[in-house]
Amino acid sequence: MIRLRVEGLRLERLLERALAEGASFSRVERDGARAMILETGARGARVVGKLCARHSLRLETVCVTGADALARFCRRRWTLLPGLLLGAALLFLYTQRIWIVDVAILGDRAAAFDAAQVRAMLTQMDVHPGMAAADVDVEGIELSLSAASEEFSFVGARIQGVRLLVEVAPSLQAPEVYDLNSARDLVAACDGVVVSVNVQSGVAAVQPGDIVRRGEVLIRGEERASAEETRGVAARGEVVARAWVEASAEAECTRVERVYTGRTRTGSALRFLRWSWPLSPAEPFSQCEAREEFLPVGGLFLPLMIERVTYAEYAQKRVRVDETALKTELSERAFATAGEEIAQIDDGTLQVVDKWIDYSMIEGGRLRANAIVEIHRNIATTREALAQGG
Amino acid sequence: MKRRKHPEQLTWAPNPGRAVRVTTVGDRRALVENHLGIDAYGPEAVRLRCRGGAVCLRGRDLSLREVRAGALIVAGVLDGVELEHDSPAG
Repeated sequence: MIRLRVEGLRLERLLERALAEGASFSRVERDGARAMILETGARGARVVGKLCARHSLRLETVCVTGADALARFCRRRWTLLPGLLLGAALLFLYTQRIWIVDVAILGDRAAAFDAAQVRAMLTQMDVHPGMAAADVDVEGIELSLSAASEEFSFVGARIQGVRLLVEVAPSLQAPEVYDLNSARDLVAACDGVVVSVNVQSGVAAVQPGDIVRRGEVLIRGEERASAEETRGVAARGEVVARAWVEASAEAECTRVERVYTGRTRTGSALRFLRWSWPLSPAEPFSQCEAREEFLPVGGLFLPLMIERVTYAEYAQKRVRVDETALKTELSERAFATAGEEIAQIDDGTLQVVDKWIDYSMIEGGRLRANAIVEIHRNIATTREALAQGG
Repeated sequence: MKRRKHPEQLTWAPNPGRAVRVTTVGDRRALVENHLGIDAYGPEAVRLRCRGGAVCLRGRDLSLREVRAGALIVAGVLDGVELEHDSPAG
């Protein structure tokens, strides 16, 4: 609906002529002796506009509402609809493809597994970001990954919008199994001082306070069958001993510092892609720091730029580092290394009892920090596990 | 024999000559059909040409609604409808 205001004399004649030319009005009101308010549609507004222009009557559009306002809006922004359609089409095409491939490692051994291996397998199966979602065979991926490696206890793949999520659970380590009736001994996994002996099967070969070496028998796999006979059994038990883990870290007591002499040289060259033409060459100093700058000449459309290199000469000087700070850093590194070794041998029963650090000067002006951590751990293990390095 | 629901005299009169027809609803709206043009329009009077003369509707705050060629609605407070006859020639 379009509301118009017309000013002039004999406006009834204007109405008649407009009606004769096919216009119609939903409302006509007087707005004074020489003005009239007309409410009409787009066609009626055009007819009235022509008549007013022909007869030099003053015409004012008061407001446009409803479908006429929408039509005007669409005519003024005619590219809006094609733009919306194009955007919808692009969005539809975008959602038909996979743009993100995520690999999630699940389960208890997630921390010990690397997702890069799974990504490499996916790449070999030609699964990559940008491929069509219809081409992704989810079941095929699951079967292929399961068959490619025995280390996976579960493989799942699913498409979530534009994302392909591959979930993998590494298999758990098989528990230790042994024949109860086959004879075996438990030996020491490392040197230590026995703290406690708990025998579940077999005969204890050591007692608290004994010093044992690595490989020494702790629990013998035998038990008395009769007064004169013994028979072999699989020794079982726990022998807790004091053991020590050592780790060290070294660093120099001096460091090299740069002292700038103040002398500089600047050279420039014109660069286009991988070609360059020297503009003002400059030789670097025997010891200098180079700083490069790229000044675009061609803007975004032409990869032409000026490469400017500034050489600043410096001399090297040895200065002594702060010993307290150096010792702190070395102790942190040494204890961190010891902590990693302890984490590798921790079976859940290990206890850290004490720790200390020693510093010493070694050749070459270097400072060494030796970290020692005393632990209580179960050192009883089988000969097979000891041979495998356990 | 079927009995008619309404007597013939009360049925709506045919209008083959397309004479002006004014239908009022109370004193608020009047439908004028078969007019030949708007002679004058103001908030207190609307005069329309028709066959044989003119029809004039008087009242207060008169406005025109649904104006089409040949028919329109006059809304407002109607006080009266007058029919003016053309004077015979000669």
